[in-house]
Amino acid sequence: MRVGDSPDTLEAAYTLFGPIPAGNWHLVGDGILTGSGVTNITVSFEVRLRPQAAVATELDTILLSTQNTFQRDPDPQRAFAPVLFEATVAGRRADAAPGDRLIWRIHALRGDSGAMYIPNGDGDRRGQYPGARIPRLDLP
Amino acid sequence: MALLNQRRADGAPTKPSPPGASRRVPGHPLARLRALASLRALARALASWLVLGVLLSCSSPPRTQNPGTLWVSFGQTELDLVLADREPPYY
Repeated sequence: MRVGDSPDTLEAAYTLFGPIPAGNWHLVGDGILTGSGVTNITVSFEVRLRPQAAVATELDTILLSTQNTFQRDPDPQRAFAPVLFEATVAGRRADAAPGDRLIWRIHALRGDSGAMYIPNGDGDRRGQYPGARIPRLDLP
Repeated sequence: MALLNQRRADGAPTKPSPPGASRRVPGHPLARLRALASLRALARALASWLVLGVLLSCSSPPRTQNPGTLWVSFGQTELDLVLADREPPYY
């Protein structure tokens, strides 16, 4: 799964058990850039609350938002090495009921033509890329 | 009823047959002890299962709170992303 020109948005959901207090979220967004000649892509990360009954985004509440421009490693040997990104972001309270969904929305804002961002599902690839992580959210 | 009416050849009534083992055992002290012991063993086994059930239910209570961390993971088809409350295995 990736974001770039098409599709430009990815979503991952979790069914909540209750409300989330306001506070700081820690977000890890390590990702891999792909595309011929691509050097960068800017990606936004949003965490949203989506009511259980909602089928689209119109009832979403945005809890936090941040973005990052990922710079690809110029070393051809590391062209597909995960680019690290983490941030601590203040989030608003989520008045969630059991069954409501937490949505992590990843959206490609701009970048080189053909650029794609892939959430790093490989972690550190068994030590090949020390420090690289699977993207995650630490809740407040 | 036919048995009740049996008579010996000399005309005397037949002796009633001795009571069956199942009727005799409860009255025997050793048999009573054995029955009591088996009842105790059964009670112990039931109690053990009960304790085991309580322990298991305590060790994995139904989740009622949100997890502290959510990881991005691939769904069943690998065409959709999900958030998981356990770190997924590396691909």
